[in-house]
Amino acid sequence: MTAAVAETEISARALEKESRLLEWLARQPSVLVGFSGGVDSAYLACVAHEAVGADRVLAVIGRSASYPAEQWAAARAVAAKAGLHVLETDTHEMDDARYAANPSNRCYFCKTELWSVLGHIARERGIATIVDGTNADDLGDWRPGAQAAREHGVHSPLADAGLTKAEIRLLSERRGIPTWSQPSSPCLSSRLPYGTPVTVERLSQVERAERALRAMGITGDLRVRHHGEIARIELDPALLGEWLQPARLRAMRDAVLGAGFARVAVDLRGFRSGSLNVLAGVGTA
Amino acid sequence: MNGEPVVLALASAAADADVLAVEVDGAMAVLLVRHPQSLSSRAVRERLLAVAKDAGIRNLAVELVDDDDAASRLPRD
Repeated sequence: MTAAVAETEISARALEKESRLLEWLARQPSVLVGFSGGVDSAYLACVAHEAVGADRVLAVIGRSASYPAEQWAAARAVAAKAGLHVLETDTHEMDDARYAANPSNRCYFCKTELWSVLGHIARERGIATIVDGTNADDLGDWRPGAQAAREHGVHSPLADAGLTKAEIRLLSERRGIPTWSQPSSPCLSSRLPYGTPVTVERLSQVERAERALRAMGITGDLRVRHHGEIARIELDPALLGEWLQPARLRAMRDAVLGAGFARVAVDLRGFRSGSLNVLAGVGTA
Repeated sequence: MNGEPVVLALASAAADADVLAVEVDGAMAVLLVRHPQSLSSRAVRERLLAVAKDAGIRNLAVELVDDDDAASRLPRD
């Protein structure tokens, strides 16, 4: 099979899944989308906008210290380009001691807060259906937040349609949604090993460090993992050779020291999702 | 540098990186190096990762140490 044929087949499968998604969405009287401005929720919001109708879709951004400021700016920009109705609201998971203690099911407490707040908004506005951007790949990962979504009656139509991340990127590109090539960007708390308390100060250190590295021109996947005094940088594996050159390594170190870490180390394997999970013995990386 | 087999194996696999010390903490290890040039080679990185994997180390990272800091970063034991 040639690469072109394989790509066509993938594309055909993705389009078929998208048709099922559109059919399901069209049956909903109104939809509230939990909207982070990431690849999945941006695609879902845009498709819902088409299937349900602009005035019957509300994209809600839940803001807290656990997401970088740039993410909200990107979410607003995507929503404006797509003509989405957007509501921004604050969430307070940091005030929940169970979340702040950073157990391995931390995401459950975060999503419980998020879906409680968004559920309240949906009820107030008479919105029938709440959806999130969980995709088919997420189902095999360690995702305690999914339990909170189920408990709050949140639907995951991307996963139900069997859409994978790669397919969502492909379909987003076809629709001209600017997030199609955007790196995944989970919340900043995911940079702290389980058991390390989540504090605004630690999240701010990570946010500043990643911003400084992006400012140096680092593209693709990037995470600064917080190991106390050590920042462990994970880069796109394809870029490692380039950034391990002495001058660049020194520049990265100095940038991250400026964010408040005492020591800086670069991971030799590079980025992989959930690398802190293996230290806690949950999930894979 | 202490004489644990995994530490010696990692230091050896790091080729010309001039490893000052290897800190192992559970499933994570940090190589303190003065000359990281050789680590930009994918083959060297893969050799190191293979050694780490055999030792149960899942997160292996490298920290650059400047020459004027080297003395203070040597292990004291």
